[in-house]
Amino acid sequence: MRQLFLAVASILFFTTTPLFSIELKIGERHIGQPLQKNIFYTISGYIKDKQTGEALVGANVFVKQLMKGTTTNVYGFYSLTLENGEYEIAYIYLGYKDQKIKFNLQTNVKQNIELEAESIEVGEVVIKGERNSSNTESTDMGKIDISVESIRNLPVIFGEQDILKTIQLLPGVMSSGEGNSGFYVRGGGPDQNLILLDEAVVYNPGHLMGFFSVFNSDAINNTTLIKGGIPANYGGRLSSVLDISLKEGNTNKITGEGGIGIISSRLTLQGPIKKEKSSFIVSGRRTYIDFLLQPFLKGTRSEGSGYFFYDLNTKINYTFSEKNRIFLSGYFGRDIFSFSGGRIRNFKTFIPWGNATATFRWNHLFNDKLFMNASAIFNDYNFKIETGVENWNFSLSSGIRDANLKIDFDYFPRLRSKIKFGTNYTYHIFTPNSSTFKSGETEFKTDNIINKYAHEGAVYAMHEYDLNESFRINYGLRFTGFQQVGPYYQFLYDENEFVTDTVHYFKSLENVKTYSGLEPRFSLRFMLNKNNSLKTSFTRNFQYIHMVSNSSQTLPTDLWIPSSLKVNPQKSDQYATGYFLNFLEDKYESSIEIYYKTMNNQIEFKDSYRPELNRDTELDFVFGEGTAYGIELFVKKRTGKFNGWIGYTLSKSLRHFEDLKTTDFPTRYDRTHDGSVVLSYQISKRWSASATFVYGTGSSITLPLETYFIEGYPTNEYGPRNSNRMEDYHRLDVALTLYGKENKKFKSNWNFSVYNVYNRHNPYFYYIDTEGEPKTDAYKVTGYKVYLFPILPSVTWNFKF
Amino acid sequence: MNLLNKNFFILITALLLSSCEEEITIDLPESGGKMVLEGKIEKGMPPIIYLTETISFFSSISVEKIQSAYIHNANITISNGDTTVKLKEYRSDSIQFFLNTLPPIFKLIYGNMLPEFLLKNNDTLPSGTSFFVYYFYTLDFNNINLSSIFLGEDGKNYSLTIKEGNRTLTGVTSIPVIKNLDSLWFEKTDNPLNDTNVILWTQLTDSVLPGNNYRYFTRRNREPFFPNPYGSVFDDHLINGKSLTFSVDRGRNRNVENEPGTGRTFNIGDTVTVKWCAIDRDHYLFWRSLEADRRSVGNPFGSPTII
Repeated sequence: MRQLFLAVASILFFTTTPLFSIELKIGERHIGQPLQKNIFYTISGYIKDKQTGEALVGANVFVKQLMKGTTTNVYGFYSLTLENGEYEIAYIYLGYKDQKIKFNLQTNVKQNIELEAESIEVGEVVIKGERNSSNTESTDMGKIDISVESIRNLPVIFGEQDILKTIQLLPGVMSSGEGNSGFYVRGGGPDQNLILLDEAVVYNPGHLMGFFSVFNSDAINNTTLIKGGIPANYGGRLSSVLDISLKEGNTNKITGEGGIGIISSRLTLQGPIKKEKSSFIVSGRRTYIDFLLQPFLKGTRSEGSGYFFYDLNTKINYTFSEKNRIFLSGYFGRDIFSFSGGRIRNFKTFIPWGNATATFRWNHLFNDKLFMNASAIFNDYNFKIETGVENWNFSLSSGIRDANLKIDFDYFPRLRSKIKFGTNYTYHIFTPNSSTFKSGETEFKTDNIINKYAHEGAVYAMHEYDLNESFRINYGLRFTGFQQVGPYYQFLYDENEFVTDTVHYFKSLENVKTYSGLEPRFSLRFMLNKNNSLKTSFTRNFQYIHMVSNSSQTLPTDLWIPSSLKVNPQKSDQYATGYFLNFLEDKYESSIEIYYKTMNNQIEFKDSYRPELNRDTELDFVFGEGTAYGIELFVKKRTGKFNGWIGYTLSKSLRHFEDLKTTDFPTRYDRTHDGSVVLSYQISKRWSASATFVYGTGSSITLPLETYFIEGYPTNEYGPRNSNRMEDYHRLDVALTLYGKENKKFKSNWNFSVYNVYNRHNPYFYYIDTEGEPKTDAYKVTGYKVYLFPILPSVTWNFKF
Repeated sequence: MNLLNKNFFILITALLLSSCEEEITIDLPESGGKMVLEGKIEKGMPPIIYLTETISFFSSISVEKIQSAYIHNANITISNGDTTVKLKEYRSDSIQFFLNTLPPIFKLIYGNMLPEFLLKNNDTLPSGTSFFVYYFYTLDFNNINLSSIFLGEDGKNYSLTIKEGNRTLTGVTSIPVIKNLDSLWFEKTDNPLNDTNVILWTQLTDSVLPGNNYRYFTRRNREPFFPNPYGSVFDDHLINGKSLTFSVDRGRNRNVENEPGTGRTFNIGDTVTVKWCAIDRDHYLFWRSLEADRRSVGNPFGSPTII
């Protein structure tokens, strides 16, 4: 692995050298008054928010004389290598005052920058935290950054801002269901999204059946969604990357913010530990449905039943020197459901589940051109059920645990040339649904299901480079490998799918099955003029771990399983092309993207599948192919009193499975039309209003078309898989925000939201039920639509000090 | 267990959400007309076959429609490897007549197998509804060799061939050797206020050989045998070779709304008969998916189980 990594890295360096000569020629034309040619110096440093000390991710560093620039990386670091000479450099970040500095470059320069947020002036509202004209200029495709700031005033459900629900309003991203934080990207499944919180993989991003996401918006600094043209530094999932980074903590003073809502409240505290050296942030959230319910349950047999969730984000960082900085961040969240009583024999159930992640990071600057981040990450997703009735007890546990080491380098050899390379290793432990139950003194347990273990590794290198004034290319290669290792018992099954006596045992760390793949990534931008560009990209991805669900909702019981002897890795190829246009002085950005994606080794359950405990789910899989294509339109107004966006997607997502009764079918999340409008308007200094409207073609479902009678009972004969549609989905939400009187020390606002303003009964699911004795006239067949949320108002009080 | 899982999600959802339900009309394409075979052979019993067609779901299902789903005049033969016999079609409205023509021993056998026919008469039907006529195929009693009657036997395999028009259907099944229940007993429910209901418990010792599949029915007093609507089958994946004590939930007619509060229990004074069956794997898988599908109706987290 290591050797290969070095090989990849060196190939890349070789290719960069000859390309420089092109750049020099261009340089000669533009640089003003060079004293001595061909001597290069570097300007580097960090860009931060002046008030909070937070790193500004993706801030522009622009060299006026060359009309070229660079952007900061995820730690706010930038590096520019220029020929000696005089330059004016502008540091630009949307929502912040520009800063311009003149350099007479005769030596390497360290220049840290603190940008000041623009204060809100009446008549001109600027959304903080968005990148500038990178939309047209970068090679990024299908990539969107969302700042929490920009969604603050949007309507919410249950009084809680949720970044996962906001990304569902973007083209190419579809909600997995009413009020649900699960999402599908460009025709891919819910397990094909790589969700990262400070680099740690979050395996189940939902609380409460997905109605809340695990991401507490107060603690989030930056969110990036990549739907296509995924750069080589990301991998492991087919469809998208959602990279969320937590705030680092205010380095200047202790501040707090929070909110009190109808069913949950949150509080965040942040501040310096040692001025200029170290800071912290702690953010917590808890629901209180359980407290609210207790009075109603008191005295009943269900006393003590309840449900709540909480989560906690913490992060501390310490700066040793200009060159070394460390971060320690963690997330811990739990959903806890307990139930007692019921009619039957002191029935008691306790069900906790949730994620825990811990990330240790070390930023190191080798020199002004080479930035390194090394991370050690641990994450754990766990689901448990403990239940019992008198002398009958049952327990189940499932989950996934990872230990992950990664090193990423950013190398900035010259202006207009950026290199990233790195390596990533993960050790996975998968715990399938393993359960035991006890009847009196006898314990029942099948031992043919045990943990599965696997190594996953990757090396990558990518190079972004300006071929000339018009063309910028980003090419990269990622090599990935996956190995299931022992201890593992390979069972052989008889025709009844019972375990036979023939068992092959793999010792600890012994190779069970190894897979590997090369993942080329490529994207090209052609600048038509300053404001518009054409881009095209190709991405190949392998995915070695899978989550298969037979439910239309994502549930905490959904299992992650590794590629194995029977399950091959998923693979996808995505081609995308787009036109990007910024207009009216970059106030508006817009794009049209077309994508075509093929997916191999997609997984579904067999037709007659029924979940069963203590059975390896692999036995019930069938494998097939997927195709997805579509066109996405996006127009966004980024500044002004009135801002927002419109997104529209026309798409198709299809599957082909030889071993299913229906071989060709659309996916559950195949939605022909999907659109959203998001508007926000600053009425006055104290009032702002916002509205979102969503529209989508109804989800495809499988309904029974025929009935027949077995033992006198009606039985369903289903039509082809996903051949029916639910009604179209549409909904309007509105919100009003009232800001408290300006006070330097304390700021507050009330957010009044109304979800589903015109009380549309959007279908959650359909079912068909029968009543009465079939052989009499009383027999009746009825179709039902179940909808979740009627018009739903909520109010939240938010504060900041 | 799975049931518990799903119920738990519904419960949580219900705790928080005010989900609502409304009737809808769904436009479904017209279909139907697939041949459906329901056949039974049990130890000591003659074979009995119901042959129908599927009915399009939304073509305003009526008694007449269901009545007309029966397939008549099919050519059906059954074989146990040694003997092959041809079956004959009968009508349920001539059931008394049919029973009266039987030798006494078969009167009892068919009387047990076809109680639903006997229960149904015009008095118990709502006024205005007509008597529903069942059609079934069984041994031809006019043409029978009393010394070697074709009855189900332990450990035998059976194959069936049906010819009707230009359609041909074949099927196979077997009667595995049964392991009987160790014991059965009643216990009061744990609700001290409820002194009229009891739970039926049983102990089963599974055979040491893996691969046993079970199905059970209960019969209360003179009612027919009913399977437990929430699941009447299980296998010995978990319990192979072990002794297990469990409650036997009362089977009931799914088509009739359940009496409140007594879902799984029996009343004091009931005479309960448990029919305990060993079934083969295919038979087990069929019931498992069929019952799973019936359970998933109305469950937002469920999904259709294609049988």
